[in-house]
Amino acid sequence: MFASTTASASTLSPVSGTTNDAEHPYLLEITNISKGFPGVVALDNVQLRVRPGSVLALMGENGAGKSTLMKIIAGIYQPDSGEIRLRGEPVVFQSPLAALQSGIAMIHQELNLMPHMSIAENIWIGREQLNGLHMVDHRAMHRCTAELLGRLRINLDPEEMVGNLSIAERQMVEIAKAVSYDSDVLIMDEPTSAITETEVAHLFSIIADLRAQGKGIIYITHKMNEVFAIADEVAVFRDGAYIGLQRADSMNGDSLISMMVGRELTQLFPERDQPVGKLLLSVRDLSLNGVFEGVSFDLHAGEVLGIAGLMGSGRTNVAETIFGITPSTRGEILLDGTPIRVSDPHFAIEKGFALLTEDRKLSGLFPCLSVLENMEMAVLPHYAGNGFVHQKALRVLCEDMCKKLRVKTPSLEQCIDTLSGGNQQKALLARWLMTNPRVLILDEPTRGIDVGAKAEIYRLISLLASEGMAVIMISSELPEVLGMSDRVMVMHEGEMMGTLDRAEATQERVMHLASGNPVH
Amino acid sequence: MKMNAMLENKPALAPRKHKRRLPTELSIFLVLIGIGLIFELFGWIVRDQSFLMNSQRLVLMILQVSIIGLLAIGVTQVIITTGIDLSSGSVLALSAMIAASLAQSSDYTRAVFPSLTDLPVWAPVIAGLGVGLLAGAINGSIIAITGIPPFIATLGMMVSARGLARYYTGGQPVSMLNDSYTAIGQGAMPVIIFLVVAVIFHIALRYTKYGKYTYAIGGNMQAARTSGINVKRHLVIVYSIAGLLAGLAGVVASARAATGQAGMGVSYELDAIAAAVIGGTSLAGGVGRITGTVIGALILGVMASGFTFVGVDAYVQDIIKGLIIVVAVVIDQYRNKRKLKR
Amino acid sequence: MNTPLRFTSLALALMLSSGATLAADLKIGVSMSQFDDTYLTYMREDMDKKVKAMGGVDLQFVDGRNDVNKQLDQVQELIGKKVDALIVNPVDTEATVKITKAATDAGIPLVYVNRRPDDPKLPAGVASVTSDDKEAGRMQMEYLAKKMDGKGNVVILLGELANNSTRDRTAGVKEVLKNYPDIKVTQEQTGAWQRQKGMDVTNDWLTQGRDFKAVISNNDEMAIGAAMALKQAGKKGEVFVAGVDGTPDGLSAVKKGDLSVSVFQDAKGQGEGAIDAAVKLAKKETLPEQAIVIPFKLITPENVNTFK
Repeated sequence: MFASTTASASTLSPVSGTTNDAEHPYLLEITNISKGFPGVVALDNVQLRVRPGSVLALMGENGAGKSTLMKIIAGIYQPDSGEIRLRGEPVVFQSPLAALQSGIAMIHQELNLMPHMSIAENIWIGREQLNGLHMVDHRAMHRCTAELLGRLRINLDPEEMVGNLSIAERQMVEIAKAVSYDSDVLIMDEPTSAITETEVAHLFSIIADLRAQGKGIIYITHKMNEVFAIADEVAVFRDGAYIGLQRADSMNGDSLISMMVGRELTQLFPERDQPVGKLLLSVRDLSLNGVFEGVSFDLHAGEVLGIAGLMGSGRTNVAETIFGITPSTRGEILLDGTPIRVSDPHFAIEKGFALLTEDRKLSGLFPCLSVLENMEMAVLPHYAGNGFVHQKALRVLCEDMCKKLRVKTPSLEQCIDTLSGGNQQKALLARWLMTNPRVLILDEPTRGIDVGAKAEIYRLISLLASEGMAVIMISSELPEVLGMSDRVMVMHEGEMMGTLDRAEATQERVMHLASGNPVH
Repeated sequence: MKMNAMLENKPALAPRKHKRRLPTELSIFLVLIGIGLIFELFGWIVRDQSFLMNSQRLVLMILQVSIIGLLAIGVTQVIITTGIDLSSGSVLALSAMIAASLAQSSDYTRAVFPSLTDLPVWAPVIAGLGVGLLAGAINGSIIAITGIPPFIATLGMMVSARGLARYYTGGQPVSMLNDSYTAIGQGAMPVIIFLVVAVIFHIALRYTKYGKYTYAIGGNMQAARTSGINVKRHLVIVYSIAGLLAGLAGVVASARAATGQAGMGVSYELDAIAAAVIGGTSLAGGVGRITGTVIGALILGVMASGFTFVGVDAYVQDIIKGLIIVVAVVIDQYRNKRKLKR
Repeated sequence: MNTPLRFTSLALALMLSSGATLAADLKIGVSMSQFDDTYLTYMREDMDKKVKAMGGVDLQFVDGRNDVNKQLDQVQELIGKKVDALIVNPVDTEATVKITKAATDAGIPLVYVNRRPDDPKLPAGVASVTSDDKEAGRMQMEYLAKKMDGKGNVVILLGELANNSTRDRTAGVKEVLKNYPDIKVTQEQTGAWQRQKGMDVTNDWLTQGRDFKAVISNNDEMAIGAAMALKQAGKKGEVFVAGVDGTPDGLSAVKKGDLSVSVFQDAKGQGEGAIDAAVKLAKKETLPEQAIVIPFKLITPENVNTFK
């Protein structure tokens, strides 16, 4: 078992690449770093090192301490103990700026760009090119930006407002900004969590360029395939401890997972029998003006229908229309053979629909409220008499749900913001399961959560389906769609490209359809 | 399943139940006590008597802020939904004018409605509350239907309601109110009304669907809608309640002063917002409690009483008051931040 | 003979007609410091009544909202509308120079009412119709000092702190107190002209066990508030309360014995005086004096029935 490989110098030495400097083979070296927060040890005596001209993938479940370590490297947190060496010299960063000036740049998961400023202004903010009068020299700024973007093969206009860019393009701007500081070490925190495959390919080519220029890149990700695609080495953290560092080509998916979770995971997707319940939901020619057209499908009880497609293909809009957030402009929805007009989420909930939304933070969580309050929100009308809420009954129900879904929380009064992504997602799923839905729509149910929690969500979905619930699952992760769905509907730019049965759905076929090419 | 069994072995977060039990209002309550103690100290130095050990004065402190406190309870709920209500002071004046005009005694020759004097006490009260409710409903409807920022909608109401209050009698004060009406504002009545209303809305916010929805909308409006909450209707209700409380404040204020005047309650909306914010209500929405707001209002009351008690120069008082408002919120935020940093 | 006669008749006709238009279309712009003030509201109404009784004069009121700059803008707007005369109730008596200059430059006669500009010498064509606020303070205090037999503590309720009336009325009170060394001012607090605030502040004083024999208030509203607080504390009659203004509420309070004394600021006298002065100046007549003073009158329980 890989989990037994403990953090010792001996496990590090075998991984030796070509070194041009015998004394300082590493760009960045971290030794014996510990960091505690009140009540929690976030990092316990960990280490890490980055070679010049290499990509180091950093993996681990949420809460493993990856982000804390990166924040220490970037000067956002100060370590309690331990040492950071940059090019062999011990360094202490009192602030993010100090780290940046020493050549360490971090590209945050939540992007830190100003939407109402141009790309050029965003990149050079705080160090604008000045002319003789100490005024901002926009022409020089434009030139520098164009040069920088050209060097990175990013095809964007320096004067474009950042607010008009896609998430992937913003990511590119962040990278350009980091490169503009002449940083030697670039930290990327889940850069692909919200971008499409073609954009990922572009991002990877940029990373390859940076590696060729001798930069050291720390790449945090949850996605296994990315590790094998670009990483030279992979380091794994678990529960605040450093587990080990391996050459990427010496690993495979299973070994990596077992290193991350500390045990073997024989199977991520549970086995499911193909069920055929009675027809529950029929959608005919559903359209929303200017967003999607002519979506039709049938859904049976106990069936899992996957909807695949790139971001912006209209998958989420279909879900929102069925749920009444954006009522349809054409077409019909039949539930149990009776046409219904869903004009409001409230009505949809009454009819037995539930929608776990795509973006937890944006449209799912009530961040300042407790776990209990987050869970109970959709069922309150059924647990209130004379306006007063039946606290006890709800508490019993929520405790029960927490147990069933294995929501890990110190108490139901805990503010939900303090839970890990996986537990938040499970609590939100609990919110919907408490409404006893007949049709459960899941939009990106496993985004931003760790492998362990993913496996649990999959298990739950299959359990619910086996109990006769009809499930619609929207996902960008193809293995997930293919692993879970009985049928896969593929969308491209607001159009339904086709529906594939489980047997005929392969990664290639789905991608083919998702790119707008009909299957022959 | 083997996998599940293993997942359960994963160590859960250490329980921090006891920490959670500390009420969030604690820090601001300590600020209140602190300010009280400072005046207590000055009291012994300057006046050789206790500031706090005087039940009469304690009632007075609440009395002085009970009208602003009523407004603050309304605006707290509005702020929780990420809104703001700038109109409460003006709505107070309008409601005071209209209520007072229906509460004049018949032995007054210059009554606004000479034929409508000596009405039973419920008539002016209902009228005052109704005007407030209507103003609030208009605020809420405009915000819910047009989607313009609450700041603008209630700013408009603030200007219009004040204008209407003046127009109503051409700026003339409405005086000589009958005794059954002024009884509403006599003695400790305003304090009782304030505290009863505070208890009602404390319960409403914590234990009813209304309260849960209010926090939900403030925490995440989109998520609230997806959870089946009729956000627009709820916003209209919240603003209507704030208006109703402004109307009630107008009734109490006019009964207490035995007059209705268009200039009443000028800048009260800002004091009310200050009380809410001092009490821990976040202008970002989703956070806030009535207990905190009551403490916030009490801080304003303690300051007002304390200043006259110590005899602080009238020209200096506002400078100190402004400072204390900011310092109180800074202390509160500092403490909350430390609590959040795990 | 023929020709001169014709000329004379023409001239006469012109004079008559111009006189007629003057009488019919005299426009006077009135800029008030603020509408939200009980006393000024009465004055506004008295002006209106006076004009209706006179006939042939149009008044246009604007509300300066207690804002110096806003008032200046409004005055300039009125000048732009070519009014025949201006009546200004200044927001700030120290900031009238610009208003005066704007009016004299445009050749429009100007009458300041209620508050006299600090500018000691007003140019020709500019008059003032005011009452001396200091006088009000003096009258209040003089009356009370006698009632108190020249000794004891007093507290003062101040108006809005930025107002001249607050400063001047208080200064008048203190002027008198120089002659009474045994009367001491122990507290001065603001009640912002408002009844409720006057009540709150007085309540605070009472709970502190402060010993005072009189409350001297800068206006009636705060004095009524103080009287209400005293009544609730069972001290009605033990403490003298003095106000200023003589509003209907104030008068009835004097009648009921809640207020010991008030000083009648003659809203009617000021309002009508200002209209008279403005009309005269617009007709190019001369005023008997440039600074017209409308005297205050003491309101006591004995003479209160003569006011209304």
